[in-house]
Amino acid sequence: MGAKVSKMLEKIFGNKEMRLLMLGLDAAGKTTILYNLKLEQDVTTIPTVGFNVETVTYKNTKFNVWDVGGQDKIRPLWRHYFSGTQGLVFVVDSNDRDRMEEAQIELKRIIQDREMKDALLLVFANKQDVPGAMRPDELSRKLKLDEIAKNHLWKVEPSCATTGEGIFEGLEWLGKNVKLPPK
Amino acid sequence: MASMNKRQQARNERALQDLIKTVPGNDKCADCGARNPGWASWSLGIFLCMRCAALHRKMGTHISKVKSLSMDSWSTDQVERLKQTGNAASNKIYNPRNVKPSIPVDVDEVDGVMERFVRQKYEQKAYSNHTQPHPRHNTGSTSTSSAEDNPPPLPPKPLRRFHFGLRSTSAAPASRHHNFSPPESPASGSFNEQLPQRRSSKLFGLGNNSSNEEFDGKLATLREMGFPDEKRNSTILKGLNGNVDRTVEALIRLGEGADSRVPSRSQTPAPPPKNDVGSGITVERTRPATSNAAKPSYNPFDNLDAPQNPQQTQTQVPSGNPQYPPRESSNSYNPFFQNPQPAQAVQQPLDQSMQNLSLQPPPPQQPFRSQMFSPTSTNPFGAPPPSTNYSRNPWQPQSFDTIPEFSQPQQQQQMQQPPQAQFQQQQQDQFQQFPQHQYQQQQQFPFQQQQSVHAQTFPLQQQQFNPPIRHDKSSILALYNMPHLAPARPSDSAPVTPTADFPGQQLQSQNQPPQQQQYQPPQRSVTMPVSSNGSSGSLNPFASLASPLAHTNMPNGLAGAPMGLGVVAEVQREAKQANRDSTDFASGRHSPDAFAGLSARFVR
Repeated sequence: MGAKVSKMLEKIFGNKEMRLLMLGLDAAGKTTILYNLKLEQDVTTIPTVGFNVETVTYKNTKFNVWDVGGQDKIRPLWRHYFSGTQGLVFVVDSNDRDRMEEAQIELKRIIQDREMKDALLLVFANKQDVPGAMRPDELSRKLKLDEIAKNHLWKVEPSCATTGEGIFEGLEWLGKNVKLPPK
Repeated sequence: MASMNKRQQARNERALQDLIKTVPGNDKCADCGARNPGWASWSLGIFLCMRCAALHRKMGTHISKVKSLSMDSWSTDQVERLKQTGNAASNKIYNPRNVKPSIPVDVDEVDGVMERFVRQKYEQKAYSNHTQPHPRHNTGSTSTSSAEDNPPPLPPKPLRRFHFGLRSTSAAPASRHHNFSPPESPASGSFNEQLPQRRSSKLFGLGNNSSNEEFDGKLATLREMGFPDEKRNSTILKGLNGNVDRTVEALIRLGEGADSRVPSRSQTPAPPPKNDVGSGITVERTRPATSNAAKPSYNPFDNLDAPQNPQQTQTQVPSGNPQYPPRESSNSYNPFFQNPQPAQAVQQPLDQSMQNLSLQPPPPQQPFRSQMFSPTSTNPFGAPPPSTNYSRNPWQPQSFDTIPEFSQPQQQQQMQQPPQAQFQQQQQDQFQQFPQHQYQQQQQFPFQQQQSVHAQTFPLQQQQFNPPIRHDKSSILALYNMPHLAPARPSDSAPVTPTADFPGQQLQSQNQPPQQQQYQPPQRSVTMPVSSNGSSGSLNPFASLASPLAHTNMPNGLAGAPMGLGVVAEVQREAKQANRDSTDFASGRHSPDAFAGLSARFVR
């Protein structure tokens, strides 16, 4: 009953709910993005051990954003967050060229997981404020998005988590492209 | 990196742990000295605590590449890097003089201070020998930079206020912050030089408004900075067109060190800063500032107290709380500081009020001290309430915040004095407090009536029971040391049914003080000359009584419902105690007993 009502409301008002999973190498800026979404201010974060989750409503869409720590050894835990994810937000430190390949490998592993096959892929080319940061097109090449995400709808969004630049744009893109999950 | 066999990884991890254990310096965070570093920057080759690791991450990978010792896998190269460098070696490069991060006095500033330090250390390389001059200047603009060059005790104060203007920011400490701008400072970097400059420039910046006072303020600043020779100060200051920075430089060149600057902690309460503050503030700010002005003179620890912060922010950002827009007199809005001050401050012209500030601080200080200590000593409720209160209503909680902390000393005080004295004192106190709440009175007229009823009924009880009770009270209170402080429990039943049986008495004894105080309309008019709104005088004498009630009830949402007597009395008591304590000193002017109480409290 409640589900029906909420579904009707969804149809009437265009309200959507979306579950997002935010992943990326450590120190890419995931938590900073999350709290910039939530608080719209720059917070000093500490390395995430475990995960953070926040709900953000933006343009009629309620985003449930999961931010999971990105350290090497806890990356295997990522897959436990896959199920039910409608959008993958992959955050990349655009200035960390040395680890671009590592990021590409991780992204490939995630996006090609069976549970993620329907998920949208939003890549934040983060830390655009750092001089010398890679631009989105270069980044998409480095990440081989054409290749690894050819079955997904994807977008690379330049962003700066500390200023909030590009972040809501990315969210908007997700909100526009999300398909309502069949219930 | 990713592909590495497990054995190798395990070996690397062990190597890291060995490095921490065996190499001196590695067992502590390279930046803040925290023990047991769990992180490391392999590009810099140093071990870090989590917080500093976070700051390194924030700077970016082009400066520092941070990894967790436990959650990341380490390549042999990276381990090698750490082996070759290590904390000690790294600090020789980046911080040869072992400059310490300033000590934040404010909890909220901890991270800010540390971040500035870390950025200066690695991003601007402000502390490394060669690059020193330049980074200094750079940092000056962005952050407190050179403050860190100071021996630890000094910088904290200035730094801490740097960001958070909202906080208590007394003029003086705040003043220290802006000063980073003067790049000319000889980078050779005697810390002493720079500190004063910073300070002065800030004051300078703020004080521009009026020339005379400005000049005086500058002189005061100089004096405070440790240049005792007034004549020379003024001469040089005039000669340099009032440029404090340059004056300081000149003075320093002339051989006067700024060393006399007292380490921040000890400094605050001391007289000289007060003067400075006063003068500085008159120039800079209007009323609200004055209330703040007193703060610098407070014990620095006060700032740590949770309750104060909201107030301070409130005073400066009054609009923040929609619920209490009607502040009628500037005095009325800050419950804490008003209590002691308003009466005096308002009466006198602004200039004098400044002088008062220097005088006044001591009295308010004491209540706060008691606030600080009482919780630690006995009162378990001291700490928790403020935090909880926060969430409710920034304005109101103040009254509550103080309650638990104050109530206990108060009780003791009561017991020690003859009942009569108690009444007097309490009454006086009470009435002084009222003015603050009066704006609420007006809003809550209906309650006043209710209250008046209570007030009438209760005094009788008090008188009846008091003599016997008083006896019991001490013992009972001793027993109930903590429980009676708990806001809700005891009062529920007591006021409603004043029975003679034991529990009833206890409860009453607790509840009584508020009611007793309700009785002194005349006194209050005496004590409360200025701060009260006109309304207080004209209204029903009980109106004032009602005020604390209304005051406290509102925030809790009780206001809407006609509350039972118990609730009323309870709330009232709390409010009263809070108020009473804070006003003790003011009242003390009139009744010597108040001081007796104070001393007693301190003995505790």
